Amino acid sequence: MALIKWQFLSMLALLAAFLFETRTAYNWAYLMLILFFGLRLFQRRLTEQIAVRRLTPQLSLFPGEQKEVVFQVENKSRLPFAWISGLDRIPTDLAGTRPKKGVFSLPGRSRVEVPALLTARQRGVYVLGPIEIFIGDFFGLSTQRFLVDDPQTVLVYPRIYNLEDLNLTSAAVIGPITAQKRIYPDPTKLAGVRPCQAGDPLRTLHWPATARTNSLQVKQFEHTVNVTCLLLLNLDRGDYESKKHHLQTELAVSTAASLSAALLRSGAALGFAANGVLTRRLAQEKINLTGSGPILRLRPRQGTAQLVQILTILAGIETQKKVGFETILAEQSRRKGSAAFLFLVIPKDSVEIVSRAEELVRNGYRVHIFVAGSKIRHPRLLHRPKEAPLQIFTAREKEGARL
Amino acid sequence: MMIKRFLPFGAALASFCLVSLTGQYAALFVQGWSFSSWLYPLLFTAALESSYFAAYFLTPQVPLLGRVLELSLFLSPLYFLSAGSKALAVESLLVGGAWLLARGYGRQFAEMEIKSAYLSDYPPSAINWEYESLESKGYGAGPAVEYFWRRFFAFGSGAVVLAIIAERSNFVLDSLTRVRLGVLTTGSLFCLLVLQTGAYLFRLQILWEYAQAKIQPGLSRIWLKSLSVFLVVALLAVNAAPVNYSPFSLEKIGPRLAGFLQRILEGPALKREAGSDFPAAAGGPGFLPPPSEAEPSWWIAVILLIYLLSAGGIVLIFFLILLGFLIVEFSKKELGGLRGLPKLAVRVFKALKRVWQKLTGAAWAEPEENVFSPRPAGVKEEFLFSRLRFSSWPEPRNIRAQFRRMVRLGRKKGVSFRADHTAGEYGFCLQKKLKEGKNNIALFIAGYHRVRYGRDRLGPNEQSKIMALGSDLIKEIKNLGKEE
Repeated sequence: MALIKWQFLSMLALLAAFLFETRTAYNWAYLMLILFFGLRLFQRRLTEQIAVRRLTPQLSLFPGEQKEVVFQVENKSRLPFAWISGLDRIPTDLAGTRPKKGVFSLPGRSRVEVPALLTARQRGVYVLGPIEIFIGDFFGLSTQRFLVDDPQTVLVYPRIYNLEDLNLTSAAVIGPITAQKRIYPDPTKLAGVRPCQAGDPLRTLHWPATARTNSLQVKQFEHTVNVTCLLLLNLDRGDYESKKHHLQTELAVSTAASLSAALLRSGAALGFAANGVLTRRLAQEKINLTGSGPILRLRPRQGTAQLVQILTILAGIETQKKVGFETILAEQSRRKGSAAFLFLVIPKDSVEIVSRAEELVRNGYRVHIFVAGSKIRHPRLLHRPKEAPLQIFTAREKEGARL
Repeated sequence: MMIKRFLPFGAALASFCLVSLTGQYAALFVQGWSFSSWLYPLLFTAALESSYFAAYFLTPQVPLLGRVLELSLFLSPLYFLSAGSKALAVESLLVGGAWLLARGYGRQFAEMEIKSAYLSDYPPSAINWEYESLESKGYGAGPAVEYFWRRFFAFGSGAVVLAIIAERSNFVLDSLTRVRLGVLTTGSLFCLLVLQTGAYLFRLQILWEYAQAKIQPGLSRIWLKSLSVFLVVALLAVNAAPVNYSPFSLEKIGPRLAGFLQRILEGPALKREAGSDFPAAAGGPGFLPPPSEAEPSWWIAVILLIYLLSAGGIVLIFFLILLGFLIVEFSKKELGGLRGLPKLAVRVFKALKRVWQKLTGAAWAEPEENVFSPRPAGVKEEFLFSRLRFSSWPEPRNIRAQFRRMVRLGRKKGVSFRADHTAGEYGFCLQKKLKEGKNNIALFIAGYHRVRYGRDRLGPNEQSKIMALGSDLIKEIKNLGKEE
């Protein structure tokens, strides 16, 4: 290597200085030694004072969303660095454009923030890093390379559509239903007015209607109850068409995510079960899975926290071929009373699945099947009345739904 | 790239310091000559002119006469200023030396840019600057800045040799000379190191531009500021470090070495073995009789004469042929170059005017040069082309001029010749825009490639065909957007 040649010449300069004993020769030799030995060793020592850390906390994105991640390079020493270049390794599916390497000079006791733009394209769990750092000197003598192993997980949730964009009507989602026993009136849902009867509380009087009819009128509220629902997602690889595997899987996952969002927004308590496997990169995330075994299961709960849990699972879920969907259905028929409504998201309405669904209906469940595929094998179950206990819907992405 | 503007200045300063230092030593060695103070500005101006000219204007087409004129600009004042022929010779050597040193640096800056043009063939992601160091030379081609290291070492060693000779010659130096020598030595080292780092930064900037790296604003300023701190500390440390403590200096080991050598050389004489004597001088058994000295015959003399004449004639003919060839080649090149000399003068004048206007803060009054020149790396596309109205331009005379016209017109119509475009790529961009002339573009670009890079000239028919295509294309580009 060329540097060795120059180091050898430095030694010769020192030898000349020792032999001829002249100030100029000594100065020259010292300078050569500083440049070709000292500077290199000194810089190696100095690089220990460089600290690299990520500034962006936990990151979750929806497809199409863009967000900036930043890492910081800090020089803790008092001496400057000529140039430093750093690049965070970003998975291709997250890199919007070709990531550009940043180059900066770092004076003593200073820090620089290096941003990078992420563009979420595809559902998944991605890991950023390691950060590659190069440090150079002022004269082009040597360059040092470091890999900072500080991975950061980025979750890209599945796309959430409006139900209309999936070709589904609002009838597909149950939401709050009318209670059979009128015990708890819902003061937020006005059903109408009626003449006042003895025992009606004064605060329920509807004054405008009273004035209009010239007789006391009271507000009549709806009596609703929140139902418990369970969303079952089939990720048995054998049930998907091999040619359309990716498209169908993504549609099924997106349908599950969209249904979860719609149900939880309507106030229902929603549980989740799927026969998929979670990617290893999801290990760091906190997911409150219940039970052990091949089936991923979440207890029914309400609210945004539950939606985040379901979306996190859906971000990192993948198909498998060991556990069939019938196993989930069989297990569900044994767990009586855990939920009133079952939402099945499947790639095809096979005879086995429909017969299992009919069995569940007989056990008292209401079952809605969402087929994320093009063919329907049981058309008789399509377009049924809203109250029908077993219905089939086709989930299909409408044109322009992503825009 | 801002740094390139200052690099020739650094090179001039380094050359000036080095030659001034040499001049100070020369004043010690050459009896009856002293280093005049008016030589300083002359040396610096010569170095400054040479480095800037080489960095920005010097091409292989510049004739020798141009260089002679350039050099005579600095040597002619010497004739009037120097006192005596010896002084003239030494001072001319110094001025010439400064001029040549700076020329080498300036040329290297220009070449660094020119040689980097191949990088445009690579995608930005394939270009890296991280291994552009002496240590990593083994991974690929040698770093471009090694030239500067070689010079750094050669000049530093030269200064050391001069200092050693001066000290060994027992010259009596007055304090002023000592200060001058000290300042010039430190100044030379400082300038050489600044130049070294400047060249490295320049190389990096070239690579960063091709790699489309995201550069921190003001990086060069921070770099140079940090560097100046480092250099001041390093040079102070070097000057403050102890000297003359060597346990094996020449004075200490010299006498021992001389004694050792003497012992080797004065070793025991070889003994003659019995019976191995040389033969007797005369009449002995090994004696050879001297050759007979008979008179040569007259025809041998004639043959020798003919041989000498013919050999001399052949050599003379060869010499004349060679001389004629050299004169023809030189004059051909020189004549070719001379034609471009007025244009070069105009370019230099315009550049100087531009610098003056920038320095005085005057507003840009005139449009830029209406000449297409090969794009220097790093110069933005908008500065390459004229701001003149194209309606008043005359018809292009050849295919290259037609292509240049297309580029200008295309830029007006939104198809810019980007910094990383080749002619072919630009043609492809035009192809997307044009409706009718799609096929003509490919033919025209193929013709342009042959004219621009091909070894053979196009025939007149072929040339007129391609020019006709070019004219059509120019018309179509002009009308681009009007139809809509």
